[in-house]
Amino acid sequence: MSEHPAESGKKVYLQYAKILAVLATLTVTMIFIGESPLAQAPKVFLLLLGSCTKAMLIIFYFMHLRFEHKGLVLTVLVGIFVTSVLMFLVPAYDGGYILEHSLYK
Amino acid sequence: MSDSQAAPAAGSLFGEGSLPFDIGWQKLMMWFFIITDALLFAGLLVSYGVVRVASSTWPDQNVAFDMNYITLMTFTLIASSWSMVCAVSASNAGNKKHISTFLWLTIFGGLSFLGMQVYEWSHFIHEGARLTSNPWGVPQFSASFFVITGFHGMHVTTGVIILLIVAIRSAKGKATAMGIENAGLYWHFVDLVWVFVFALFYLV
Repeated sequence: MSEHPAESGKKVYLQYAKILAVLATLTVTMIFIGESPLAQAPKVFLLLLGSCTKAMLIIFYFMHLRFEHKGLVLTVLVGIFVTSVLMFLVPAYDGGYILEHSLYK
Repeated sequence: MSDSQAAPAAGSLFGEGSLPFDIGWQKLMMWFFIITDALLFAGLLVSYGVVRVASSTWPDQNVAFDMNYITLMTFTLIASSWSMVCAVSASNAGNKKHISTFLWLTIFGGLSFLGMQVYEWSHFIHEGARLTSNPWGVPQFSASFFVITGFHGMHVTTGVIILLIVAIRSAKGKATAMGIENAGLYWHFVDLVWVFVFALFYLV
């Protein structure tokens, strides 16, 4: 069975508070990016990058995935992220068609 | 019993004592649930993306929402994730007092988030937003909002109920470290989903 840090106390809580601070900083940075006059494509890219970074911090530190078996890490990351990307790429492949035949024009 | 019908030896793939991925079955099932539920949200967000691409215009979120308020909601959920991981850490160390404190802090964070979401929804509805129409002109805008945030809110509600059960069981000395950890995994997942909802729905 994989072991989690059995230690408890202020030191550990403080370590997690540092992750919380990074998450909060990333959130504020993303708000600035969202409200910046950047073009839509780079804005979406940067926001997705920020979201994935936050997601990794939550998964590896808060959900303790970094302490787990490599097989589980691969299952989770491939299961969630690769499948989500593929899920997006399939309709994106037909994006030209969607744009040309927009139902909402 | 014949040899062919004998139970598999302990430690074999299908016998007792075998731990796929070196974790217990409860935690493994929780991870599988998280993966499938994440794909469900991914489907919703991808559908939202297709609708966004297909729409010639989209309302400015700054007009429809108070971004400071949404940011406060986000910080509340992230902070509750911190208190949850501290509860799990205290549980692993057997510190009962800290388990209880952090669990109730997490519940308070979850309830605060839900309260803020209820206010946001009522404000949005009061402004004329419905599932099929809204004052900003693009019907898919409010439809996406209600479906995505509603589905997420339902998960937060479930999370709060699970945490309440765990907190009460913990107070009675019945909660196990595994139970608290699994509740924590679910709660962090709820936070994880909000990260993408916040970025893709409110910021893009």
